[in-house]
Amino acid sequence: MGKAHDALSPTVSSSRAVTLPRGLVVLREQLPPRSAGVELCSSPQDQYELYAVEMEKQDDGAMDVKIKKKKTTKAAKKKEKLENMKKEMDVDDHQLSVEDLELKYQTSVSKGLNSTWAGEILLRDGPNELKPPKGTPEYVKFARQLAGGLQCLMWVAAAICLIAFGIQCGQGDLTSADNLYLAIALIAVVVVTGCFGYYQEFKSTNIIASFKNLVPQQATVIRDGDKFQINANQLVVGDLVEIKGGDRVPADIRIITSQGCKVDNSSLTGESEPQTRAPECTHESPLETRNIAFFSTMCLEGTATGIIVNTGDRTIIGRIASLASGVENEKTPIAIEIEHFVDIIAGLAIFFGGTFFVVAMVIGYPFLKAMVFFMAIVVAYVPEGLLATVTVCLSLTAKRLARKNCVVKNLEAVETLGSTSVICSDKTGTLTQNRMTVSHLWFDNQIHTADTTEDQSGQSFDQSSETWRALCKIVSLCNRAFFKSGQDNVPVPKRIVIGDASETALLKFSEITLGNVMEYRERYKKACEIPFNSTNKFQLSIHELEDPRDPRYLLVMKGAPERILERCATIMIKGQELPLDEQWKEAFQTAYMDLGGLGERVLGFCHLYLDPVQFPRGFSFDSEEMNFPTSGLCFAGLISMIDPPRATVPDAVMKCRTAGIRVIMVTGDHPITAKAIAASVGIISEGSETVEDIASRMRIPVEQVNKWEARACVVNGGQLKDMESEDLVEILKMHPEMVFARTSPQQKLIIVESCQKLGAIVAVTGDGVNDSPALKKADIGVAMGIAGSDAAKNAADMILLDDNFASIVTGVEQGRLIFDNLKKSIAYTLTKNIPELTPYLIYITVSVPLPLGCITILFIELCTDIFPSVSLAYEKAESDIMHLKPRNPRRDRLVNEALAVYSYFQIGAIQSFAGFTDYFTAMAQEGWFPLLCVGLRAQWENDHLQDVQDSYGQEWTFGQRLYQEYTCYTVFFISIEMCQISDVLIRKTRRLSVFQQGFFRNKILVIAIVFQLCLGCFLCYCPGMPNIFNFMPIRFQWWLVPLPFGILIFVYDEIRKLGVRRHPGSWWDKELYY
Amino acid sequence: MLFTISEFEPKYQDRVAPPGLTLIPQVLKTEISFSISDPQSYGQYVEGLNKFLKNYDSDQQASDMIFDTCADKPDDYIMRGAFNNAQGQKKVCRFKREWLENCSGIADSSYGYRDGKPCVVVKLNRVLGFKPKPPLNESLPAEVMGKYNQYVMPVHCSAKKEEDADKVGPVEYYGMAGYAGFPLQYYPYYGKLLQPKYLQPLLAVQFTNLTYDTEVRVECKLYGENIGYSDKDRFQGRFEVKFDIKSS
Repeated sequence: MGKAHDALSPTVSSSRAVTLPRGLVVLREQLPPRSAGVELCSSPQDQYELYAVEMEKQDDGAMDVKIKKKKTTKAAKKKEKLENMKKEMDVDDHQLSVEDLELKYQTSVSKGLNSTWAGEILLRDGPNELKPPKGTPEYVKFARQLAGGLQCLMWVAAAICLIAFGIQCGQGDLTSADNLYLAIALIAVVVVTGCFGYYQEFKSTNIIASFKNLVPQQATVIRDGDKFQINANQLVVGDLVEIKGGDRVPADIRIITSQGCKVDNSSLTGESEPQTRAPECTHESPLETRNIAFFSTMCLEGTATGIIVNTGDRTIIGRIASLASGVENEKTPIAIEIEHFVDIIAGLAIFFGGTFFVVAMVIGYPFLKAMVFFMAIVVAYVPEGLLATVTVCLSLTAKRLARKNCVVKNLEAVETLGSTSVICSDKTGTLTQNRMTVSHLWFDNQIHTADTTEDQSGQSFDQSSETWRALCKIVSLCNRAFFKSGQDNVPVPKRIVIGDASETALLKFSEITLGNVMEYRERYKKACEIPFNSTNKFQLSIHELEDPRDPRYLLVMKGAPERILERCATIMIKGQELPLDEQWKEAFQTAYMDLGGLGERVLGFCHLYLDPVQFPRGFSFDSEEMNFPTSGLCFAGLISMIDPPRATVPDAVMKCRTAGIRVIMVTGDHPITAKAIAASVGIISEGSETVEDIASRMRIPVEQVNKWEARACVVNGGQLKDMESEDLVEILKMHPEMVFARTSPQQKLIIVESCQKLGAIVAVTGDGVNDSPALKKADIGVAMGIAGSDAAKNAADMILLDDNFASIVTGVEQGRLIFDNLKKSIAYTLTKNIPELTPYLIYITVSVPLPLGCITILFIELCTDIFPSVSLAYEKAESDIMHLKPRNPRRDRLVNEALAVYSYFQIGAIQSFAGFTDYFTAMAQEGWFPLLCVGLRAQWENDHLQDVQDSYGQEWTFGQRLYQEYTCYTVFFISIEMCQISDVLIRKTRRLSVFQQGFFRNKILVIAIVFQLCLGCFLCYCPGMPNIFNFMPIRFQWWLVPLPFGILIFVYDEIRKLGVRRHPGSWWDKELYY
Repeated sequence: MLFTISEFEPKYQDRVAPPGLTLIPQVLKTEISFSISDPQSYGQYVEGLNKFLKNYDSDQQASDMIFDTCADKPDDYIMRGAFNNAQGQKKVCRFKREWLENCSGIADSSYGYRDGKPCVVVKLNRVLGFKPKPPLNESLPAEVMGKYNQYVMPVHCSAKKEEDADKVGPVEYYGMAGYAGFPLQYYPYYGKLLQPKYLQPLLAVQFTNLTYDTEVRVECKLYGENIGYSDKDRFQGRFEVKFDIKSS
């Protein structure tokens, strides 16, 4: 499917009689476009074989093997389906004669199907539409939200809590339902964040869905000899349908009759150029032959009738779509990182739990009690708030991206672009505008560059020359394309044109440079016209002159440059007609080669003022007889056209490269065009050479070139097919700048896989159906929102609503930023785990009254600290992240040992000290000296003891002790909060000093800190809190106790950062930079 | 901040005051449940009372260096100077075990349990420097007002629920000079360091005619101006105890 290009019918091959200089892409004829942009290959025969083999492989080779490999487990059913697929691929409908076809489908090429029979077939085959890829049911989507790495951790923790609660109940200990609350809180967190995530994805799905064309497509069908307009999904195999310019082909159609019908296969193959459809079978492969028009391709011009041979999912498009659905989605890098992080957490939790289990047993706790301790410690290690933080951070970024027109389907994909190290980009429609545009002109022996930007904002060339005026006249007059009426207010590049792609380009070009072309044509009345045909390979028209006193006729002609040149005797230079001698022919050749080398389609233009004596006004020109001169004309110039790159692309590619991302072009289009576009957008940078370039520069055979010298490499599908996957990997390693041309959907898939094998995280951009398998396979598939086909959008993870490749750069930037900021958020969130855990450890081992309660911990995790940790997502980048290399997924982890160790055992330890200092202060000030506290637990917690003596001999009832315990909780809570304020400030940066980053630049973070303080105050001082949530109003000075620790944390981290900045690569840097 | 703490006087007492009212023996689930015929079943209560009252034996209060013979009848607070050890330890008022009469355990070593007339001893939790203020309010229950003395913190025990009133029967109070309460001369308390042998005033309460074989809930309440009660802390200024005495 990918490279249905040079359909090598004998006619076409023979039309390539002229041997062309190497590297030259020429259009020797305007039609058929399939021969435009001919490849540089030694002989047409080679090419023929090459593609024949290729197609055969496509039909049943690579694709089936691939899927079989993937689906070995889903045995029988899938296999059967594949068998069917294979069989269907063997269709020979294009080779059948019309009569056989009628017989096969019991239809008639004149009257169409019988409606009743059509109804039956419809029942048998189902409607003619692509089954939407088995949409994941909503409940599965929701369930997926509940089953991530962190979520699983929380589920396990909740289960442990319930077990611990069960054990406690079993022991008859009903005093504390903390474990139950904890379990409920854990489950609630998972479910609430699950709902949140689900809602986010639901919203973006809706945005994408809104892009789908909901208007049912209509088709003209002939049944029982009458024409009907019916919904395209009602069509069945055997239906006789009519298509005309502007229609979408409603199914796979075998063409029966055609009048200049051309279709746009770009979404299928990546070719920008229109393809002719005609009744003759030109190739034995159904994909190559010209007499089959494919479902969902666009008919650009002309009309055709045909018989439907495949409908719905059995069409080529349907099969590619199903190929995409056979590809497994890759796990997002962030999911992998979170799993890695969960491993670390779980490991530490079990280590700590185990250690203290042993300690508890040694101290002499009963086994079950020790078990409960073990579980409590394991659970205390679970960062309850992290899940919410991560989800909110990701969705914030998703929102930010959505504002920049990147819609993310899966929240986790937000980060993926940031990790991306290779972008495999489709060319047509992604890098280019998918629209032929005049790019260069050659006249007065000079190549002029036309403006190819989308909005015509570029520089124009010098238009003062007389030659230009003549050339312009030819361009305007010798053109049959016209604007669809009623578009006067539409900017020229956006207007809809009826006509072939090159004529459209020329029409728009002259409309822009000259003004109203339609009116201009009115003034030069057309007297005669010869449209393009494949024998003449030129187009000619004869016009009256504008000036009524000038009786001459003007003959204008355009066509394949060498054909035009043959017919010229003179050449116009600066308005002067000079004889066309060898020197000028040489100049012509050079210009022709230059333009061809740019991958452009070149046309030649010439004119002749007819002798007024011989051809007076009113002369009857006969286009059949050609009773006028068609040689000895005056050559005016060459104009070349290309599907130009989008204006923003070169800059975006440049930015990607500075960001260390390799941009690879993978296209279905011709190598030369691909290479030219690659060079113009910077995928192949200036000065980079391919092996062939080096060979031709050094004038040595290709084999003798040291391949490692060639930075760039253009590989076409044919070469790719012969390569083992190791070779491909080798090539990818060898040449940093790669262009893959004429690739099939499967090959795109293989390329993506090879890049992934190299350890790269691969983004694929594309718009066509042919890209969809690769989009799915990629770590992140990016589809175009406007130009993109539904199949591509379905397979993609991210959609660029404005089709702007530059949005990818934004995505990369945001992705990298969120990765860095998530790191900070996680570091912040993890830190407080230790001051939350140590009270319990001390409680178990030293038997002090419990310093920090479970509900209080939940408040820290899920209430006060959420906002600050989320606010870190708003932190600006510390350095120019777009100048760094993409992270190495194996080395640069989201959570590494340094982060965990530093957060837990350094900052976390300081926070614990703060908490305990404050705790002991509060206890001592109320009458319980620290030494007394040790070992106090049994008495303290005995609710029958109403007269426990403190250090002063005062007697406390159980209730009084309980409130004192709550006071301690609150004091510890405030200590953690105060330290966390300091913590959030230090987490603003990992390397820079906070002063360099700006203390208050992140407004959200400042608000978050204020919010955190207010919430802390509220929890402490709101009446009723003591009995509901165990918060007690505490004395002001207990807020101050942790302050020195907060300052210590700040200074400590500044010292760390200073060391990291001063001594990069040192032990300090390695151990303390996270 | 830890170092600013005085050994003699707590910085804050907002958690420990107003003080709790405690009963001896210490009971589980605030329930005194025993069978008259089975000495084992009330052994733990007797044990608890014995242990607690040991400190109140006269031989424990012999030293005149430590103990002060205060008035035998309720009197005003005795202030013993600042809360520091500038003058060494502070003296402590004696409290005679005999004052508890039937519940002193001297005459009846089972504190009335053997007869199904259980005694409990009531004490006010120690709070350093705390000077309990007797109630002024005229709205006190009549029974309390009857024995009013301006230097006594009155305690009154009655059925928790009105309808149980007849099940409780008469309640005997044994305290200093027959007052059902805590005399003020024992206050304020100067703390463990200054008064290591401090004896808080006690009040014994004997239930002489409790209904057997049923649960009887009794609440004892201390009245005073600076005495508070709390719904959450059932032992602040009052306590509740449930009697379940089996006659057989």
